[in-house]
Amino acid sequence: MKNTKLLTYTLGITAALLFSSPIIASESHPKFNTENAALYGKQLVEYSDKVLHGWKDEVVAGKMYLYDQQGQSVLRSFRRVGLERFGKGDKSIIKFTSPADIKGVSALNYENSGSSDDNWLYLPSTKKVRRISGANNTASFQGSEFTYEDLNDLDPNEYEWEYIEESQLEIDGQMVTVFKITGWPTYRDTAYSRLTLYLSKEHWYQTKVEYFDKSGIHLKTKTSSQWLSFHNNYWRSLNVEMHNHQTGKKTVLAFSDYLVDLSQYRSKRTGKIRDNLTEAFFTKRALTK
Amino acid sequence: MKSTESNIKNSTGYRFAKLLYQWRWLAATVVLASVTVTFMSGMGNISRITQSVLSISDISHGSGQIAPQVFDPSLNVWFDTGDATVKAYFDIEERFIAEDTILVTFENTRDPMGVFSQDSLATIQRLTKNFLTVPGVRHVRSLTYSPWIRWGEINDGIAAERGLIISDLVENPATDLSEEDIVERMVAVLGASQTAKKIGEQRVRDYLGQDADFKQFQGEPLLLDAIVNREATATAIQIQITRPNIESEHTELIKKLYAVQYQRAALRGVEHFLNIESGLSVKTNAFRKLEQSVAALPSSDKKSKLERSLLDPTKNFIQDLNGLQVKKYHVYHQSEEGSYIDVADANNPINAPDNFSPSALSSYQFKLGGVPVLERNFEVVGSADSKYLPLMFVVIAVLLVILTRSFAGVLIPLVVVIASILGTVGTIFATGTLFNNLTAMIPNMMTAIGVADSIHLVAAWLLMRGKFQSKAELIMEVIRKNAAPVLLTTLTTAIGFYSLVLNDLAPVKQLAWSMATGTAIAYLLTMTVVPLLLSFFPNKARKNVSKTGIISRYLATKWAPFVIRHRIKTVIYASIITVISCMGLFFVQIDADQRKMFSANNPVILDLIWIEENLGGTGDLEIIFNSVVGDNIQELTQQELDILDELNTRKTAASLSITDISPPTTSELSQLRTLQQRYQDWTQARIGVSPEFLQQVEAFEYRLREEMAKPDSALSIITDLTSPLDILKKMHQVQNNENPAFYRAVNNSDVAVSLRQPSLDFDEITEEYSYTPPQTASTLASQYYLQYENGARPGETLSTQLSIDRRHFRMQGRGLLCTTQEKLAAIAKIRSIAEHEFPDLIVTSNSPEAIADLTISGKKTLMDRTGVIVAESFSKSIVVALIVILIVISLFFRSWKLGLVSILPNVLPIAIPLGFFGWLGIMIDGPAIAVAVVALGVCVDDTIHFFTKYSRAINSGKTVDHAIAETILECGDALTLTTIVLIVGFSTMLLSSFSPNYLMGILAVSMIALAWLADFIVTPAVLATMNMKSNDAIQSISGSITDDNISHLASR
Repeated sequence: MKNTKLLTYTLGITAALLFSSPIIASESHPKFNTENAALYGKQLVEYSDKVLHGWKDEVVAGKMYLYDQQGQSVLRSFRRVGLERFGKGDKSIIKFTSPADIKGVSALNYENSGSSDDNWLYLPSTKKVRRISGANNTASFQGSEFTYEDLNDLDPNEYEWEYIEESQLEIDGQMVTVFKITGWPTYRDTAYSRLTLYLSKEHWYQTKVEYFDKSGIHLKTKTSSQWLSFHNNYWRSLNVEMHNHQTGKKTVLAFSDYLVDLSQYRSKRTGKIRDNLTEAFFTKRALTK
Repeated sequence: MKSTESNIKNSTGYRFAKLLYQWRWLAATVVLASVTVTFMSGMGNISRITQSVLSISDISHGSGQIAPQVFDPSLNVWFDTGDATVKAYFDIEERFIAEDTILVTFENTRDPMGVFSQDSLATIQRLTKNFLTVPGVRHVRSLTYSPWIRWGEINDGIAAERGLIISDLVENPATDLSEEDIVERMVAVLGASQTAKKIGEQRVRDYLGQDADFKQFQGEPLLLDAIVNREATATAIQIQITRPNIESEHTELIKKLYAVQYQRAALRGVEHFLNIESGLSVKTNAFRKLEQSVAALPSSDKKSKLERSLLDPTKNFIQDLNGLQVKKYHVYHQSEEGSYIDVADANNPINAPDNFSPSALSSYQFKLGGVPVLERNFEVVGSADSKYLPLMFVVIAVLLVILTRSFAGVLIPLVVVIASILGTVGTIFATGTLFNNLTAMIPNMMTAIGVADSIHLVAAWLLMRGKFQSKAELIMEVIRKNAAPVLLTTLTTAIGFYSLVLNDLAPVKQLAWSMATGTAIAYLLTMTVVPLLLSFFPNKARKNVSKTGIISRYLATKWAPFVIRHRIKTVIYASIITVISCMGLFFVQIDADQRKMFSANNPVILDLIWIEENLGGTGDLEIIFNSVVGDNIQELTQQELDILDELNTRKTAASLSITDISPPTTSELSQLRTLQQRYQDWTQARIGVSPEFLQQVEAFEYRLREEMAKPDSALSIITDLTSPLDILKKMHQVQNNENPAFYRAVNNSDVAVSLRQPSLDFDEITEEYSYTPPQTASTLASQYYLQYENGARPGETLSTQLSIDRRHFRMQGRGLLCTTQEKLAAIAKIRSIAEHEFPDLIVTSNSPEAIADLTISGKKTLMDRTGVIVAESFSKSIVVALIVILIVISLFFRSWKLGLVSILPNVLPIAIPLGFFGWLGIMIDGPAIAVAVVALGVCVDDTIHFFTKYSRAINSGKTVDHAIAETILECGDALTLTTIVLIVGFSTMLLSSFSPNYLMGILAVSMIALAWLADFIVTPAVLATMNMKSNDAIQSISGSITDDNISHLASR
């Protein structure tokens, strides 16, 4: 375990150092229409969505700290395996690794572009995989401050956008330039009236998102930090915090052991280059193992 | 005579009076200026506090202004912090979630499907959606918007498949529901049998199948009797309002004040949507115009802010683009005559246009309930009562005109009273404290003290007017005669109030020091401002002297001899009455019943009663189970947990002969055992997933429900119980084909034998072996919870009922409106059931090894109990005050005899009314008892004035009977005047429709009246009995009282 972690970090940091001014991200974007705030906003989000894709698959270990109002926390660890299906909706498996009483609980998710997700859940205590259908988007992810809506990739076509301004934001102790863009969701199953994105001007990822509830009140803020670039292109945040301003609760997701694009790594057992995952892996059967 | 005069002139009293008179301008200016400065600084504080509250966020109705914040809403200050129930309640607020529920209910008896009719469901859906947009609303639970957990066909996504569904009961527009859809939901909520009763068996069979077993469809316990009644004729929308989470730095007080305003704003928002639904809120033309001009603005942050305030349901006023205030809606209310009035601006109601009739979206009559509604009702009714204070002043002024027939006699007491109130209230606010339920009575209390202090000076002045050569002489004499007794009455009153400091309760302490300070302020005002004001009036003899002193003269000549003649009988009767009353004190019920506090036609109470009859209780009851095992067990660190997992993996690998993993060494095995043991101990502490605990709680809940169903049980006031067990049972049932037999807590037989062993799987992704621990009922419970949380809306999160570490388990009950004592009896009953039948659930000396320890509380219960606590602490303090005052009297008059004599007249006025209530079984609201302290103050004042004059007469060589007669002659007027003024003043409280205030009025009036009777009947009788031989002659008195005598007395 430790070695993989070290390797990932080394890889990531090396990548970050070598390509400290990413070519793709900052220089090759199309000409944006800066006259029309709605169009400009949408173009920025669309570009950010497009420029970050192509990672194929990924594996990551996550620690989810659920904090209550008093700052006491419990920890749930999981591992997430994801498959990128650009334009069709990604597939993923989340498997809990701690605490012991939920260890082995795993969830299979198919994002379906344009319609609701498919979900299956496996409980080791019943040894059964069940198709589940929840309140979907607005349901809480495992009792955390994140809802599925917050975790799913945001579809630029499902919002009305508006570019607000360019501003400065402190991330990891450094001031970075961001595009501030407001989005009004146009899909039905949402908990929000609007959200404000802060897109990194340099790397195009979302450094911060503010969520406003149906009454227009600032409900939550998601802050992502400790950004690492993988293979020169794919930025991943190792620390994502979701702060609920109405309840004072907080959830922190700390990621480690990232493998982005498995074909970039060697197998620990055989030493050979690993294969990318295929859709065949993301089946109900995979949950039980 | 000469020598007496020079004696007088050399006396301290005279020198003091002279000094005071000479410096009256300076003294009065200094005192008045101090009062003014204190008051101004107090009001400055209030405005700062109000501004701070507003600075957190604008919770006004749109004007950017809220009423000055003078009332401290803190609940915790009423309790001793060591109190277990209180601690439990504040633990709940911290550990789970602090929120209140507003209920919006309506009835549908006209549609065959009742509130499941398409029209009703559409209304519920529309309101639910609207309520969710009200700031402060965390969640709404209604017939359309509550989790519907079931096993069924999942159609979305790529392939249809059966699975576990958690959805809203009505997801799509209610108007799209087919009849079958509705029957399906009726069966899900009401159960098959109830649905059959409602719409006929055939229609249910059409949906379920002809041979369906109705017993398999039990309905949804979480909704039944709470969101909808069994007959499906009444439904509630539960609106959960959070306490705001304030992120900026503020004092606790500001945060609490803000929380109250925040909740009020949310309530306004809810009412706004109800008014729209009923067609009573209609957009103003100005608002329509503003909407159009905002829509025409180019997109910007400013525009979205404006759009938000256009929609904000908590604000009915908004600034237009030019910064002018615009009223958004006409808010029409129907008056009793049937006409409509626009009450959008409460201070300026406007008649609706003649042709107005509401065009309602639905025809239902909505009824509101819940603690926030009740709390506001208290405030509304309470503030309606504040209008009685000015009325009290008017009544007092009129009385003073009648009784003194002099301008000075009206002006001076009123100046003293008003200045005393301003000074005292100013002192409270200036120290940064606000009114609480007790100190809010200070204006009334200070009125009594101010009147009592000043009237003695005014009465003496009226009596002696024209009998002195100069104005100065007259006023100095007035001061000289009254300085000592007024100082003494001030001292005893202050001591009386200050004795309350012995109390543990902060609000009582606050009352104590505020009133002690207030008493001092009243004294200073009396001794400085009164002489100054008197000096403005001419020293002219009254045209008709006999008019003054007419009461005294009658009392002294007719009354006193009569009393003295019957002194023994009087003392005996008085003693008997007092003893009987004191016995009655043991039966006094300190209790409160909110149903009876308001007038019979109070709409809020009528709504609440309807809601409770149809949908169960609206009060909260909290039964919290806390794990007791875990306190001395150290939770494993994450690192230890990782080691445990690794060692388990290696041990299991060894047992499965997997060779590429090294087996644990002997020392590692022993480490594994230690860690495993500690882990198991810790798991035991997690009661929320412990099968033993869950089964016990299930049985406990069943037992409580059994009691709740008995009409004569103390628990019959509880109408509903919910806990995380409901969700667990439901998940278990759904996982098992919806078989009702599985609607129960999980046990180990629910886990297949093959799963009770640990297992090891190779993980292709991590290329490592992954260990799965043995599965148990406990892991099953954990996984069910996780499964639920994964599908439920955040508003339905388990964490409001079960702490995330699973060590605190919350059972919530709903209780009917009832008396405090009934609530306390219910709590005692629950405890006793736990202690005797479920020793595992409560730690006592008999069950020290319990799994969990339960505590019972509830916000409403706590609020009610404050009354009882206050009453108890007051009773103790009054006894202490009485003793201290008697000692002071004995010391002052250097006579233990007088001290003893004063017991009867001081105890009697307090004991009789309270004892009477006790014997009659009338319940007394706790804070009303506070008035007894004021009554005691008045009694003692009367006694001291009486004794001062009496001892002066005795010291000048008078016989007892003559001394009594003279005393009465001298202070009869002042005491009678004070008594009449206070009685009439306090009887304005009898106009109140709020029964605690009414009761306080009754107690105050009767105690003050009795104090007068005690001093004019009992005190003379006791003095006479103790000092006279039974056959002493008394007939000489009437002859000795003449007009000459009066002037002689006056000049002495």
